[in-house]
Amino acid sequence: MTYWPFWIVAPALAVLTVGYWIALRRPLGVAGVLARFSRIAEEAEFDRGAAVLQAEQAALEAAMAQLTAEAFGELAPAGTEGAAPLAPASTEWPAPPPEPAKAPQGRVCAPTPTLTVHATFLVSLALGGFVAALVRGTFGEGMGKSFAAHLGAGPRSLLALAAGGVLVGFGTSLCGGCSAGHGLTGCGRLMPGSLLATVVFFASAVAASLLIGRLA
Amino acid sequence: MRTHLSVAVLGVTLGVVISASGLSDWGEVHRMFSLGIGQGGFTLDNLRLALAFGGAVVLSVVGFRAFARYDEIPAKPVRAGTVPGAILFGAGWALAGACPGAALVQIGEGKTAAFVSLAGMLAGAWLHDALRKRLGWARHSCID
Amino acid sequence: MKCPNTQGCPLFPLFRMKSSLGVWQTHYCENAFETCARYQLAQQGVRVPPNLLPNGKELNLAGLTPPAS
Repeated sequence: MTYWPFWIVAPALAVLTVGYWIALRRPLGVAGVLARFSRIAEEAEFDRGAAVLQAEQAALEAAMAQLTAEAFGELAPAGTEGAAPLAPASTEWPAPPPEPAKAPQGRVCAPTPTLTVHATFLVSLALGGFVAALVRGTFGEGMGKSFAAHLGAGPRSLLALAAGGVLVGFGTSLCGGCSAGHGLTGCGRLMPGSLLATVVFFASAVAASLLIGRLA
Repeated sequence: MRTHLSVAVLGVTLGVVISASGLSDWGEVHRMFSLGIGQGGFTLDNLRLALAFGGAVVLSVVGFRAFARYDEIPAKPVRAGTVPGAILFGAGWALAGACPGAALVQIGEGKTAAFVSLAGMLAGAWLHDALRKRLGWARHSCID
Repeated sequence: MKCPNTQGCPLFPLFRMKSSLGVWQTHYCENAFETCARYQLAQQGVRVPPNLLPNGKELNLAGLTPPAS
């Protein structure tokens, strides 16, 4: 089995990582997306709430004005836009904070995509695998010789996959990212949490692999 | 609709790269994490994927600096779960031979056993969330 | 800002629509963030609905009286 050399894979992954952010204004990551589908009802509820915030500006302003009035008392009367709000009789409200100084403005993160967009992403990953396997002529070939040699071929091997999967699902949720989320995007931005997570998960994987090599 | 299209194109491309690189091959992943030990030493063949991953990180740093220097990408600070989570994730990746993205690619490649891995990942994520709510582990932002 | 969860909080773009909406930010985010319903839910590990306001009310466009013309 001939796979691509490292000097093709490395730039390909990097281009996809940075390109994903530039095109979608979302950090590339799979674990978080997958985890949404493990609690689909709650996430659908979240999407409904998020949809409200996508409404038209004027409607949002009107709704906010009403809710603000209910929460804080009467606002400044119409015609004095931009003035500090009238304070209720008993408390002193400080003026709203001034706009921060203008640093060079970059892209801001887009809101969480809907479950359907995320489903499309996950399915397209599988589709990519399908296309590649078809071109290589290896579709349906199974997990390979090394897998069989180390984990066997029967229920034991499936148990190992299940256990591995649970560790991956739990671990990525606990540390807040996977190989793409932490390893590529997070490290790409030199985020401390990602750098630490990447070093630790890599070390852990090495230890586990060596153990598997010994035991299996 | 446009988002769906962009996400699909990027997803398929990533899937192809994961497949063509060997990241969805249990044996290749095992090789990557064995660092040549018990495999015949520090050969280019053995270190191929590790070099690929390391190289991708370095090039991503360069790429983000060049094209996204002032962008506000959500921060990932060190949290209580960072180290224990990473330990579990790494062990699981070695055992299952796949990270979440690779598991999906494997399904596309017709490796039916990957459905078991994927089911495990969904179960693990669900377990963590249930535990988080049960034990009141705080979420630190509204977006993660 | 006092509240530790401000990064990515989806309400900030709302607060910035008009200067008069800055009361929310001054009252909750910069001062009494522990009374913020969003912060409280997050502390319990629950996914916070994006349209939840700090006082526990949900921002909703249905059923609000239209502005007097």
